Amino acid sequence: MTAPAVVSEAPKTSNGHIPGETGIWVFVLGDMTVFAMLFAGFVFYRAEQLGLYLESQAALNQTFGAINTLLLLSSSWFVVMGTDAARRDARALAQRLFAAAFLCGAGFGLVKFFEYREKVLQGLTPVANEFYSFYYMLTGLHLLHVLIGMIVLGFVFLRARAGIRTASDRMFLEGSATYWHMVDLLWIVLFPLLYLMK
Amino acid sequence: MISLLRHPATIVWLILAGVTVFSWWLGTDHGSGAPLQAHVNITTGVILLSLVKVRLILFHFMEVREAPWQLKRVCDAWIVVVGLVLIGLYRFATPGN
Amino acid sequence: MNGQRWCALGGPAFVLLFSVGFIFCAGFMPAPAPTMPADELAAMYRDNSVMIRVGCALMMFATGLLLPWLSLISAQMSRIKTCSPALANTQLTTGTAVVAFLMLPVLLWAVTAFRPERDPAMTQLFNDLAWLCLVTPVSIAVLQVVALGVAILGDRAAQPVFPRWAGYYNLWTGFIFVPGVAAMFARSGPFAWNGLLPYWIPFAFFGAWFLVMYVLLLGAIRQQEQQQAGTAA
Repeated sequence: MTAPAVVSEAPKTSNGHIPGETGIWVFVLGDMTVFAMLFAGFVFYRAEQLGLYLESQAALNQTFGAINTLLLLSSSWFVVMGTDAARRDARALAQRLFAAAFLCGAGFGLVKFFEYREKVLQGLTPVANEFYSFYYMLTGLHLLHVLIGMIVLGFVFLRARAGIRTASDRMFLEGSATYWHMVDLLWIVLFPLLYLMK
Repeated sequence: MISLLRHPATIVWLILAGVTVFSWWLGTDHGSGAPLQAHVNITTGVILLSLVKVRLILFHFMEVREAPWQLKRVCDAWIVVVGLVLIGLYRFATPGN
Repeated sequence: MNGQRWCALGGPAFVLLFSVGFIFCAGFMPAPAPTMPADELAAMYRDNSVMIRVGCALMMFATGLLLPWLSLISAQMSRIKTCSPALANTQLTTGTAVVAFLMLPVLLWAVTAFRPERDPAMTQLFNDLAWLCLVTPVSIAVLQVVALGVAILGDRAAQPVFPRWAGYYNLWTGFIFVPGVAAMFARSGPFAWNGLLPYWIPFAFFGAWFLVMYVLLLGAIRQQEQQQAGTAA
């Protein structure tokens, strides 16, 4: 194992180390709170038209949802390992791992494309009923986060080539990783609510 | 490559993937002919499992484990509030549950 | 108190005046449901004709106050050395477009209440027009806060004009507006113009945004004065 470069070490206080920077956590926790409200809204409105929601949910393809969960989890694992490699200054390995994380994200988008296509061809569009409004709104907002995350991962990949040299390099790497894991985390709650809740 | 697989994150990933497949099985195949009460308990279990996964991601992938205590408690609070609200709305506001 | 502080007051003053007009005079909280039958809607406009117009007058004056507020934000953005004038201009132009789109529903409510004895179907049309105008043109509002957020995050100065977290906060606020578009597709439930996503969530966080930005703008003005005092001495 190579000795870590000095700047790659996170500033540590006796209290611990904030991954990325404080600001990214304002965004992450804010986003998580908005999604939490949407989740609560879904369960609340579901109670009013239980039959409709159950019937509509039965038409969803759980396999697509589960494959996407596994893709995002794997993607997160690649990002953890990539961050670790970047901190050890193993740049080539870090780049390969970030590329793999990006491909998992692209795979997620591809599966979503086929899933949407299947639903639209069946006539199940956002205006079909309230369940499908929620379905497209929640998965669509989440997909927007995935796409933004893939752009961010692209920059992480490019910057990994030069390694972590400054404090802002470290902040960018950790902040991006934190964001990507949040995208994973949101899907982890979204999947059971939309696809599995009986 | 071997060192990658020995990383603690790999064990976390294995647990997360295993729980996902288990929830998927619980939420689909199982209980298809079961009575309503079984559905309610299974769904409650699936929501709880997803919150366990959320905590694993926050603390191990997002490195909250090493963060100041304030951040840890805020994250825990999110999990507890979301769990209470979702399960509360599901079990008590949904007719028939 | 210098001119910039007066401009900064425009934000909270807007929230206060607009809320009084919108909530207490016009009685638009909660919003009339999109499913309300035309004759009931016409009766609502007839019975509250005067108070709705009083509310509209207040909301119009409130909305005007946003222009100096927006100018102040762009002026402070241009103090960020790394901020391109294009970003500050984007904030100003998109913000001005938001003002125009806020004026429009207010005007439409006033027009609807102006002659409530007309055919109820026309009242319904104007009412639809007003509410969809209020909640669906989100793209400009998103661009406004994103331009501000990007400018703040790009600040490389040792003493930035706005704190870094404010950049992330603005990006996040942009995300909150996005679901408003859904109001075009739903007449009831969480996606309708009186529902959780286009109405309650944006109003709560939009109001909070003005108060947060007010405090941050006062901080930026203080910093500017200290820097000017430093160079003069």
